[in-house]
Amino acid sequence: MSTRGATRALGLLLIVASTLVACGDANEDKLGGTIRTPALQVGAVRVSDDSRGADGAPFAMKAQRGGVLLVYFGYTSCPDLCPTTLADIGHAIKQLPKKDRSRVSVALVTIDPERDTADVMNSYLDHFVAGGHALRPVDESQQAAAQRAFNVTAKRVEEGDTYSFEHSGTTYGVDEHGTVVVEWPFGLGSTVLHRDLVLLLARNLDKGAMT
Amino acid sequence: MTKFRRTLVAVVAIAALGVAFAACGSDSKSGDTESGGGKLTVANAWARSSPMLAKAGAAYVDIENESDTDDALVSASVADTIAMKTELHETISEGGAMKMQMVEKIVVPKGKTVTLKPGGYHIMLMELKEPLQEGATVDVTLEFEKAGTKTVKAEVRT
Repeated sequence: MSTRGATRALGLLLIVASTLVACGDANEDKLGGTIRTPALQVGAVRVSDDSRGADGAPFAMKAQRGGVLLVYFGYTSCPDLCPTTLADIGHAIKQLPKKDRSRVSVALVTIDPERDTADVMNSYLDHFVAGGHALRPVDESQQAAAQRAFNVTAKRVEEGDTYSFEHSGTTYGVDEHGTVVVEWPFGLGSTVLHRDLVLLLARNLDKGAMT
Repeated sequence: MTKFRRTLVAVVAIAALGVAFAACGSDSKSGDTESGGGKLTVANAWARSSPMLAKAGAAYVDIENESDTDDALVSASVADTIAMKTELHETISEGGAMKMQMVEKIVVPKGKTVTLKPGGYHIMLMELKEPLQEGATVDVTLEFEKAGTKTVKAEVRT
């Protein structure tokens, strides 16, 4: 092929390449979750941690240094939303490289402390997210304070001899300072969550390298 | 460049663009909806695996109505060795909060497919007798207004 032909071919290749890029991850560095302005500050919130070995010690809503804390308010008698969300969280973390998995911690805050005993919550977390924190408010004021800080609504709905809850389905991503950096509404799924975790962990590493 | 070469480059470029665009549309599912001649079919049945001490579970299915009349799922049941009670539920979003409510039936209009899925319609399994173990299957019997009863095997997944 002549030089002119080669140039033309190269030009065409560039067009093809840019088409591929355009349809692919144009938002590669953008989080899939929602960002609230101003961000919620939850670092001052303490909830009793009923995970095995924690023995009710107050848990602070902050990630470990350079990590991410995922917080979800739910209840274990919830058949649809809560198991789906926790399964998504579990899948998203499992897909991370091994070295990064321990940088993500998970806290399930029960909105139903009456039925959600420590045993029930621990069994629930074991199933979906091994090593998750089973947070069970000690009293109504601790529960109300936690829900207020995260802007969570939870309303008990009586159903004959049982009850369920009308509640926020959001998962919160909290950084080491107790700032909610991203919120994932129900339904985004594990792929978006996983991608966002990768991004958040990479950003935290960058920040760590600069300081 | 000869005319032939020029044409060749153009053809290759168009083909490559085609491939590039095809790569974009990755979500298109292959249609496995073979026309069965006026049938109602239930497919992709699955149930969420449940933790050791959990009392509630959920099962999901796709219902395709190829008949010429609307139909509706009116009840679902499982063996009482699995769960004591089964109800049809819907999760709905209201002003940021999600709530669950019992529904009397799930309408499946003619020519449509209704998918029971997390965050929407589901078959709620109440008072589970034992945990739903990943990999196991659960027989779920569905009763329709017009198509009668159908039993499907729901695969338990996490």
